[in-house]
Amino acid sequence: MDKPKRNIPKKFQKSKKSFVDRVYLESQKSSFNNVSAFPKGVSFYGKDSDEDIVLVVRAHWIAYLPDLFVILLVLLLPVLLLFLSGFYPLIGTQVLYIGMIILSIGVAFTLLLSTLLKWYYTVNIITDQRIVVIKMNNAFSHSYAEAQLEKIEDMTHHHLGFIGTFFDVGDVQIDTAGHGVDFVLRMLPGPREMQDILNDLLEMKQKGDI
Amino acid sequence: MESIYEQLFTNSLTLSINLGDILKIPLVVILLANIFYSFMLLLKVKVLIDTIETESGRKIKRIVYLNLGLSIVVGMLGTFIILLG
Repeated sequence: MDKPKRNIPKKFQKSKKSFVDRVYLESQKSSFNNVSAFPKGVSFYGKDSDEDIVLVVRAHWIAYLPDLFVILLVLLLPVLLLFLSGFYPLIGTQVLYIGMIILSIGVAFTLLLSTLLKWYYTVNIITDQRIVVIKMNNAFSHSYAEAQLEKIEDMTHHHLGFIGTFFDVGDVQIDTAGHGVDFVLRMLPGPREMQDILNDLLEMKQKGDI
Repeated sequence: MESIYEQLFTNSLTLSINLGDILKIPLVVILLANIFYSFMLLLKVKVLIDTIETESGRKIKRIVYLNLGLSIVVGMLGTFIILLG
């Protein structure tokens, strides 16, 4: 298998090869480009000029399965009603059902786009200085939170029941110093590996390697 | 004369409610809500494009604009058909 062209920042070229390899391995393992190692052309609001992005991690696609189910339901409901109207005299005429089908296609397309945008803009950015968690909830709200690596005290991960075990998906909880916000990186692919990478990054930061 | 009065004041007002017509109101409201949500999605993406800069930011913006246009067309067409039905 051809190795993708690596874009290792200067700071990390001197660091342990195993760390860089592991970061790239996670990126290769992920489906739908959920994990990007040392990505090019990615930046975020408030990024320092000397700051390097190590990982960009998005939630596993399984997290959006309920949304996809709702979209499918929106598409199928008017078709089902139209089908049933052939047997039972339901409300309205056939033209009304055609209107409902057009409506459902429009709504389903908007919901699908909304779900895609939620996936794309709900992102965890791990840099050599901090962790940034951006979350898009819907068209009305989003949040932006960040924690400096020095302030991280403890990390735990847990798999989420049957789905978590089956798809290797879980949350990584990050405890920060003080009584501030504790971070939860939700529905990450390979949470154990993510925690390991974060721990190594913290160690490198504490030793002053990066 | 009396028979004319009787004809005038009997059976002149009958109130009938068609369930199909009542159903049309929430359907049109959903269509309008869809257009509003598409517009809000566009505004949200405009903010998020500045928050996270990626190579595909412009593409996403174009798709969201397309969705808004599509929602308006579907909204108009849907409302017309629903009111006809």
